[in-house]
Parts: sequence; structure tokens; C-alpha cells
Amino acid sequence: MSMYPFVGHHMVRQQLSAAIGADRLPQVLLVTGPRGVGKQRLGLWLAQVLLCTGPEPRPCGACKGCARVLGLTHPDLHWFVPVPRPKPGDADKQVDEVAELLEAVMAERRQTPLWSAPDGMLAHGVSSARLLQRQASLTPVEGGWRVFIIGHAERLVAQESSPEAANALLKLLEEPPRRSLFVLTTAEPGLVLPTIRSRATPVRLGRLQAREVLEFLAVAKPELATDRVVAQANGSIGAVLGSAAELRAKADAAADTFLDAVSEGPVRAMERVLRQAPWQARGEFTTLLDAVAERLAMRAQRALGPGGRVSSVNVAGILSGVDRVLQARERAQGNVNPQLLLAVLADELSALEAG
Amino acid sequence: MKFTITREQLQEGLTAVAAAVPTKTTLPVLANILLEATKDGLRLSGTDLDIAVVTMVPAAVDQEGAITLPARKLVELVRELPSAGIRMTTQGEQRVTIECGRSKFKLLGLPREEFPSFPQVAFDGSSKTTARELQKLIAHVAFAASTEESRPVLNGVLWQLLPDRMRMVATNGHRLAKMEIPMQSTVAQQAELIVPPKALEQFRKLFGPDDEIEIGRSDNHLGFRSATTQVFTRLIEGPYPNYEQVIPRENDKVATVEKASLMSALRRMSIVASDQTHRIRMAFGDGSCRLSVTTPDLGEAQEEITVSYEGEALDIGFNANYLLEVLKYMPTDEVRLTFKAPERAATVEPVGWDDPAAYLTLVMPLRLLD
Repeated sequence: MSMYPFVGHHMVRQQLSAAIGADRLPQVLLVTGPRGVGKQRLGLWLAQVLLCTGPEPRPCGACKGCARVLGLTHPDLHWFVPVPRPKPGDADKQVDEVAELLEAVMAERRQTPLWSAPDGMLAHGVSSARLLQRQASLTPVEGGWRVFIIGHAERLVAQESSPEAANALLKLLEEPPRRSLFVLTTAEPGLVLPTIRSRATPVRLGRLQAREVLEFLAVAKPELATDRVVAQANGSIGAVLGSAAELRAKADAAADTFLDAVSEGPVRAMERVLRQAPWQARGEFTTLLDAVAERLAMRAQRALGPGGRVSSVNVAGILSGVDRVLQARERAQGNVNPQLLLAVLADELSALEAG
Repeated sequence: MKFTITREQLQEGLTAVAAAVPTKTTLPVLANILLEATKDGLRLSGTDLDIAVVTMVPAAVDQEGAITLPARKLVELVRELPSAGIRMTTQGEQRVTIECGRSKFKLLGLPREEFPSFPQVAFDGSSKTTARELQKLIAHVAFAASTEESRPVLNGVLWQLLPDRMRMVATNGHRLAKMEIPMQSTVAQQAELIVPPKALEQFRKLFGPDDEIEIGRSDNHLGFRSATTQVFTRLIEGPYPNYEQVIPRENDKVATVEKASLMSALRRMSIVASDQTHRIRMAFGDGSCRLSVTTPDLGEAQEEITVSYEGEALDIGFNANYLLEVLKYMPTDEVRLTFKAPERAATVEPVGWDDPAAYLTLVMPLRLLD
């Protein structure tokens, strides 16, 4: 699967395109702006422009170069994201390990081209700097440009243990090899090492317009493409991803599958129950129970409401179902096995549905 | 794609190409080998993006086409097949049937389009040499390249192609090796390339000493080509430091030593030397060299070996490992060491080498503390 279309930032794109056209694109860019507005995505877009082999205007979006940038398989595109610290040991092995960790992240992004902010402990460490340098010291694989995207540049940590790696990185940014572009991105430019900041040309991305967020969500997350979500997003796609709205939509979908499974009989119900992990009853599982209770309550409401066919639906049964779910929710706050809890609940609900 | 090939030929081709296939890969398709059936035979290609190997093996091709197949599985499979004709037929872009005797396999691959395109290297026939000449250069020089990442350019081996000779130089800043050989063959285009040692190692493995090698290059790549096999490599971005300025021209103190006795003495001394610096002291005087080492928390050692020495007496410190390393690659039994002063670079050269090549190594001294 390839990256979702890049939305917004037309002015910046125009300026950068013009700079590329005039062959005066600064080789080290520091892209700043609020979280989730497409800073790293701008890096990918620049990679696409530079590595596009199709006709003008670039990127054409159809050539092999564009396809491989968007599929994250272009050999001259190197995307660095913060990764866990490699195991202590031989420096070369650590660099290889970082390469593998990065590849695992890329493999994930090829599958689902959406990402959220990295965990607090992850960083660009010495080994990442070494890997970057190793890749930058060689000529391009395909003879064109080499593009290095370094996301969360504020996590390029000062390398007291290895001044060589830090100095080498600074030297690289100071005198980038010809036909190489370094796109550093950060939402917190104040935290980027001043030595790095001073070597980069700043590019500022603003918040997206509501219709641009909507446009993106319509393609990437249709279930979230509502005006309410967009209003809350405040011009940041990243704010939507991993937000309450997204978790909510996920729980709603899970509740629907659970209730459908219960109606489809014990075999289906147990199949669904077995997919529930037997640990961690709080958190996601509790949200699921909330969503199930709400769904049942909605059913009862519909049944009782004007035009509801009270006779054909067992409203009392549904309401005691809600009761059971709420009991289960209460138990879920204690030390219980959520899989068993869900199994009992499924059993009870199907009995109520039948009776 | 449809072709028939003997097991031996397929295996030979696969062995050459598999060397370039990375064990751990950043792009899934790189774990695969590209098979292309053409009217001239079967072309096999493998790459880790730094180095690419392409080889041609004879095959009876009924239908041209291409597919990529997982390298490791294909190599294992072909190794286990009986010695008979192997027939490969593709179904669509990603499936292939392999039949050999009474065995039949279906393998899943990846479409040809996903395989990276190969560098466009111009082989214009202007630069030719034999693998023997190049291998000699590699064997005597590549070891000296740096493995530290602080100066990437030193991780490579400098290869200069001049009208009548070629030269290779490698250094890590502490020791340097340089070899120059007159070219019997032709080089029309002068060039200065910084080549990753990994590529040179691959070259050494893949070509026989008598192979005629054609050298081709583009802006970013270097290519070697024999009749059947091609090796491409990315280069390291230059410029290479001006090494000429560190090669001493005025060393007036000359010692001629038997290599084996110097090496064994150095090995003995280095046991007692500091693990960090490997520093040993060499005191050259009339007809002898006294080696000694004192490590405060370990102990000390002395040894005297016979040398023929001309010049004033000299005390000089070295990292024993660097000296041993350059001595190891000296092609003659006797070597000549030259010095100027305790803080100036020393050179080590072969004595009486019956070869047109000129070989020189250089070792920086260590400061003696007392």
C-alpha cells in the first residue's frame, strides 16, 4: 500500500518546486510546524519531486520513481525515525540493528501508511547517526538524488559518549554531499540542538484548513470524516489519529462485531470471545463494554421510540442486557480475565435475546 | 518465461550472484535474485544496493521473460536437485514451476518491476586490465582502509587510473599502503575512484586471475566486466585527502631487516605492550635493533635482533599491531625500513622484489613517553 495523498501546504510546495526548478534548493531543511500537519510527508513529497522520472510538472505521481517513493521502497530514500537504543555491543552490529529497526518501522508504514508520535524513550542515537553517515558517504544507487528524512529532529540527542559521531553528523549537515537532501522535521524547533538548527534552512508549515483535513480523512479514515472530528482536529491530521475520536470509532466497530456475533449463535460468539486477549481488562476492553452498553441502549430506545415496534422486540430483555454489560464493566475494573468475562457476557446476552 | 538449464550451470550462476544478496535486507525484494531468460541465455542478478552482481549462464530459452525468486530458497533447492536438466516455467508475474527429473516445485516470487534497476555504467572498451593485476593491488592495499566512521572517505580505497599505470592507496590515518603497477593494458580515461573495500573483496572472489576485465564507470558507479560476469558498485564521495604530502621524501636512516625475525619479535613484545596503545620502542643502532616495552601495571620485555642499519642511532615508538599488519603484506623475505626522526613517518618497503609493481607502506610513530 502506498502513502495517502499529500494535502495542503500549496504555497510551501510552490516555493520549494520553484527552488528545485532553479537548482537552488537548500540541501538541509528544518521543517517546523504543529504536530500532524504533514512535515515528514512534505519530506516524502520532496523526495518524490527529486526522484520522479516522469514528465513535468513533477511529481507526476505515475512513474516508477514516484511509485517507489510512495511505496517506501526507493533505494535512494532514507527515512529515519526515532528508534529504541540498540543492545550494547559492537558498534557495527548496533548500526545493523538500527537499520533493521528502521526497516521494521518502514514495513509497518508500507502496510498502514499512518503513524502517530513516537514513544517517549525513542531517539536518534549514535548508531542512527552512523547509519546516516554510512548511507550518505556512498554515491546514489540510481544516479539521481539521495533524500534523507529525519523525523522528530529534536530527538537527535547530544552524543556525549561519542563526539565523533556527533561531529561527523554536523560535518555532513555543514557540507552535504552533492545531490543529497536532508529534511529534518520537528514540532519543537526550540529543542533541536542549536548546532543542527544553525546548519538548516527553516521551512514553516502552518495548520491545515478544515476542508483539507476532511479531504484526507475521507480517503484514509472514512469513518472519521465527520465535521465534528474535523473541528476538533484544529488543522492537524495527527491530532485525529490516535485521538479519542479514533479510539471511539474503533470501539464502536468492535461492539458491532461482538453483538452481531452474539446474534449469530454460540459458535460465532465464542469465536469472537477467543480473539479477546485474556489480560488487561481495563482500557480498551472497558471501552468496548461501554460501546456495547451504548449500542444496546440505543436499540432499546429505538424500539420504544415513536414508530417502534414494541411487540416484536424484547425491550425488557435488551435493558437487562444493558444491566449485565454494566455489571461486567464493573467487574472489569477488578482483577478478572476479560476473555472469560466476555464469554459469560456473550452467553447471558444470547439467552436474553432468545428469551 | 520458459527455459531449460543444467543443474551445474544454474548452480554456478547462483553461487556468483548469491554473494551479493544481503542476509538481512532493508527492501524485501533484495532477498531475491532476478532471473531473466533472454535469447543469449539466462541472466542472473543480485544486489544489496551497494554492490550488484550480474552473470550470464547458457540455457535453452523457449520463451523470454523475467521473475525474481527468493535467493536463499533457490540456492538450497538447486543444491539438492539431482544432476539433470532443470525446467523453469513462469505462471504470471509471481509464480514459477521448477521441474527436475521427478521433482516438481512451485515457488512464489516478486514481479520483476520491484527489482531495483541497475546502474547505467558505460563500458566503452577503453579501459581494460587483467584480474590478476587488480587482485594484486587489492591484496596489498585494501587492508589499510579505515573502519572508523569519522571520515567516511578513508573507509574506501583510492584507485587511480593513469595513462600508463594504476595505483591504489588506502589509509586510516595511522598507516598507509600504496601500490603502483605499470599497465600492460590500456586505460584511455584517467580516473580517480574511491571504492568501498567490500566491492573489492567481491571482485577478488568472483573473477579468476586470467579473466580479461573491462572497467566502466558512470557518475556514481564503477563496473567491472568479464566475458560472463559483471560487478557494479557504488562509490564513496570524495575528494580523497592528499596522501602524497604525508609520504616522507627525506628519510635518511635506513634499516634492512629479515621480515620473519622482526615479526616474531614484534609479536612477542606486543604481548606485554599496553592493550590500548600497543606501544613498543625500537632502538636502532650499529647492526642491531633493540625492541623493548614497559607497561607500568604489567611488566617489561626486551629483545635484540640483527639488522643492517645506516645512519645515526634512533629511538622510535610504534603501535606494534600497525607494524605487524604492514609487514604481513610484504611480499619479500627482507624489508627496508626508513626513518627521519622519532616523530616523523617511517616507511616499510620490500627488498629485492622481482615484480614491476612499486609497493610502499607507511606507519606513523607513537610518541615515546620518557
